[in-house]
Amino acid sequence: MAEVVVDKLVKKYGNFVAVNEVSLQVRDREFMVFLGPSGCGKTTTLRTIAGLEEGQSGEIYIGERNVTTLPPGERDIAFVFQFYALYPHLSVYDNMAFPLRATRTAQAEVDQRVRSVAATLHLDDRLDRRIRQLSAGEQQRVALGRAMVRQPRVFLMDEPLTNLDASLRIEMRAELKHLQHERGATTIYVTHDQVEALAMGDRITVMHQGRIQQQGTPLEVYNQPANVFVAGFLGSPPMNLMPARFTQDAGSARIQAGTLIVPVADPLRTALAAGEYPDGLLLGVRAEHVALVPPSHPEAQAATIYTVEYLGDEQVVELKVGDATLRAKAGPETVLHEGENVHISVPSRRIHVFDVKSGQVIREGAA
Amino acid sequence: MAQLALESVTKRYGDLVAMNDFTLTVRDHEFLVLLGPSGAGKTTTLRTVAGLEKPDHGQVRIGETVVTRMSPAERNVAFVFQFYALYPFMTARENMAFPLKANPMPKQEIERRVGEVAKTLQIGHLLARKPGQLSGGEQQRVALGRAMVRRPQAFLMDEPLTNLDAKLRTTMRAELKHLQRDLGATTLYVTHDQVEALTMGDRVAVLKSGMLQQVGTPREIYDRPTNTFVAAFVGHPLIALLPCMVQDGALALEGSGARIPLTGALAQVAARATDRRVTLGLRSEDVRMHTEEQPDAIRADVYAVEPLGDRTIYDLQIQTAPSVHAPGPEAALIGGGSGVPLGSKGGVLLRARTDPDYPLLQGERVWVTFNHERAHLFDAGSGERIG
Repeated sequence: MAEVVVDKLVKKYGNFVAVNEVSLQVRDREFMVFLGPSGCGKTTTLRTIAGLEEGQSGEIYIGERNVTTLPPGERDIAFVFQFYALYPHLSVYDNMAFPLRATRTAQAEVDQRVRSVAATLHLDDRLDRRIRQLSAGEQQRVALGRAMVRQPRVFLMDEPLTNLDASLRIEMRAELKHLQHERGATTIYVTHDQVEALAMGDRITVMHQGRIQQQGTPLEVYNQPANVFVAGFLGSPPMNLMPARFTQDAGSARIQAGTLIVPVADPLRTALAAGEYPDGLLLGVRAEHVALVPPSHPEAQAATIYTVEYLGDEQVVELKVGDATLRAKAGPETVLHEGENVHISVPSRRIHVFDVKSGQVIREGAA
Repeated sequence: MAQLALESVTKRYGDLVAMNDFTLTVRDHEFLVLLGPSGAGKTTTLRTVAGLEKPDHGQVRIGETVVTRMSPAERNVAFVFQFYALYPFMTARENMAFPLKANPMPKQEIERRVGEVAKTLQIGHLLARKPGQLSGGEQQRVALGRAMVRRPQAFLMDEPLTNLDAKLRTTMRAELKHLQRDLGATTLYVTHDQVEALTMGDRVAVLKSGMLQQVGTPREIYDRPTNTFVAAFVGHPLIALLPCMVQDGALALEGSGARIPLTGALAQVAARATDRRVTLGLRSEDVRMHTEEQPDAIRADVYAVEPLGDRTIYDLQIQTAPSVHAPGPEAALIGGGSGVPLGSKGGVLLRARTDPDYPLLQGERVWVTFNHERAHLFDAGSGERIG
């Protein structure tokens, strides 16, 4: 396996800049996810790494080799599109042997590689079966096996789980992640599904409008979003974002969004006080950090329930706080009603504040 | 608005029984969701209420009236297909007035009704706009308004949110439910999406292969599923369904050495089911992991770790006991068919939900216990709930 480096990649289609000076490094054995909405440049970046597209400028390295001008066949990569692109009338063995036979590998070598990969994937007792006799999980492993027999240095995957139904997708996601970790296979995985990205990636590269917005582990990207885009793109439901003002007097400082007031202490207070925000601020808070509290709670603020969504293991509650709308999460036991007046609290240490003009988060102590 | 009732309705297409003896009431003002996979009979049920299909047996009632032999038009129910099926070249006002123009109605009356409905839906200020100039939520209101101007007895909705992207669907879902409550509109809503069913329905009717499986509130469906099908169809992530044998008031987990003495209500159920094969159902939030060996716990390995931001889901693979032979092809069939997922090594998977920063990694050994008060037991043969 090998690391992958993309250095200042630019890819334009006419006037449209699909990939705008993207630089990144995928570590050896890492599961890297490219995440973003359609048109963000994630698939173009992947296809450029594969050699299926050519950038106007920038370099691509796989391992020590500069592959920027090499054709796909010489890059030592396996491109896995949607799983299930298998030949249904062929056996598991013949499906897996297919890419090797296409390159006229010697029969003894084909047999040895297919059997060794099948053993790793626990498909050794399935080799004679036809594809349609297999469960979906087994089919996925065959598709992976077909990529693995070529012994690529990097796996590139473009939304491979998209067309599966919801429960199968969840099952496959765990299976794929398990195999990737077990094999230590360097993998770049493209998706627009933030849940998939969080669940599968060792690290995530969030892209938007051809640029990298943030790179980090799932928890870094979720807990410390670098900008408004990342904050709003990740999470179910996405982070609450409300126009807000910062005010302070001698004694205290606060962020105010409509009638919602959250006290602000140092170091965020100093950072906020040091900046200028001509277009204002956005207050961000995740639904699981908005707590329903009794009216006697010291930070209790009045809110009205607009809708309640019961999800079995939790509830998502949409609240009106003055003019602002805010989503909160509650345990499944609490019985809540539309129109009910309740009290909430938003803990100071759980808030994120963004500059509307730049979209960037205001970092504690960074100003 | 009015109550809708199906009384012993059967509908066949040749040999296929699309609805097998359905008795189901949608109460006045109620939001009832028909939930099931494709081929379950959901859409046939909806079309039978609308009068687009004639039942082979049984009756359909709207309010007090038996409508089984009435034409769709005489039934006065509004069929809402996908929202966004608005005419793009017409204004919101023209879209809403459209259904009234089919049957002759004085222009004044049309205007009065559109005005009234627009006021209820708070879209009076949008009437001159075309759909392209409206947000998703506003378009949804116009589409609903178009159904409302006919003053229907009930709304019938067939997967109206299906083609929207995930984020818009979530917003529309909450908005639609809020409106339905506000209007007190009797609504029969079809979906294959269990999240929509749980979040929107006052009650949910779960269907499979033309048979009603369970009718209940979202909480009843989730907390007390009547069989393994409902248990596996509802809930996220998938419930673990573990094959067990009841022996001396304990569960012996098949394929594993684990023997779990039962407590509380489950113990009483087990006492009545000695030497029976059963299926233990465990939802991820009721499963606890321990890093130290525990008595009466299930030994498992961390198969995959899925951090989701607000929680982490652990996929665990149950350790196969050395004395028990590894699951054969039958186990693979279980994995493909009945909602018991298998890892690539063949062992049964179960899932545990934890806080986001739980520190275990793939490959680590754990001991699993579960909340007996919230565990589910099903008969292994029939799949029916026994406790």
